[in-house]
Amino acid sequence: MRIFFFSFLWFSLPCYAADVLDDYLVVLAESAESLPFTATRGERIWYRQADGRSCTSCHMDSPKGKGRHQKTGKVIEAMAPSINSLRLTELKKMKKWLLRNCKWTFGRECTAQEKGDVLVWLRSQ
Amino acid sequence: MTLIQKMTGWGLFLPILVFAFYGVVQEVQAGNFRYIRDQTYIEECGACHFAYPPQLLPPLTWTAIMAGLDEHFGENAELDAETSTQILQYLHIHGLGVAPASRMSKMMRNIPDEPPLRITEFPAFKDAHAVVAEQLELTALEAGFLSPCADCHRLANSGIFDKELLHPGYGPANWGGTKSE
Repeated sequence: MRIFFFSFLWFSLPCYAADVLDDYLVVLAESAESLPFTATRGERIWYRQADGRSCTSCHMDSPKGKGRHQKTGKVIEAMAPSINSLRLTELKKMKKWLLRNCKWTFGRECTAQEKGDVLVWLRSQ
Repeated sequence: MTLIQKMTGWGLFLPILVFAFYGVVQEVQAGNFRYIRDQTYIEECGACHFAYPPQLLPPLTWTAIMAGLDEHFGENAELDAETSTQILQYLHIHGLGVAPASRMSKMMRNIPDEPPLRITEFPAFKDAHAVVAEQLELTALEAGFLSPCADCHRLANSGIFDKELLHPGYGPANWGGTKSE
């Protein structure tokens, strides 16, 4: 009996993870102009260059590969959930890194539209 | 097993225990076991760089660093107020000079009234690392060369920086290729 209970918990983990992102996307959608969020736009944001900076400066070309912090050299684990199942599962982390990294890369906060598009694209990776 | 064999066995084993215990006591007294780790600190700060043990900088410097996280040596490292307060509190409690004297107290030497923000700019740090370039047969060290402590100090993650505990044949393990984590 116990094994069913635990396997239920275990297999329900991914559903729970998806829920966190889905909930966040619903919140972002409230202030987005063009719905639904699309992976195509998200991908464009990932590669968008701004004064020589882009997401790829540290995350490298593919979100499926490891990145490296441009300045400190520290390894950044892959962003793609297919490679790294911990990605996009924690609301606090998503908010924190989107805030910081948009400001560093583009010199401003990202709009809800941009955040949603990028998250949808990343989820597909 | 004869009695003599048993006696010899214990005779060899007991001194080892005694010396081990003595060693542990010595280390504790030297402050080597005082590095209290904080998971939040390691997670938040260690995400981008080596999580420098708080005992490397005085609380005054930690305050300044935490106050300027949105411009953290050219990077945005903003934290929400709650996390930031929690980390600052940890850094204050375990910062340099507040805890009982430790081997790290050397970092206090010749500290200016307004201490620099970078660990690598402390006079004591510079003194301790003045020979590094020569030893590695380099004319000058690249900017940031000395920042990933654990490249050379193999127990840096435990807050131990003793000269005797450097990586064998030290020098950043894989410098020129990839920097270590």
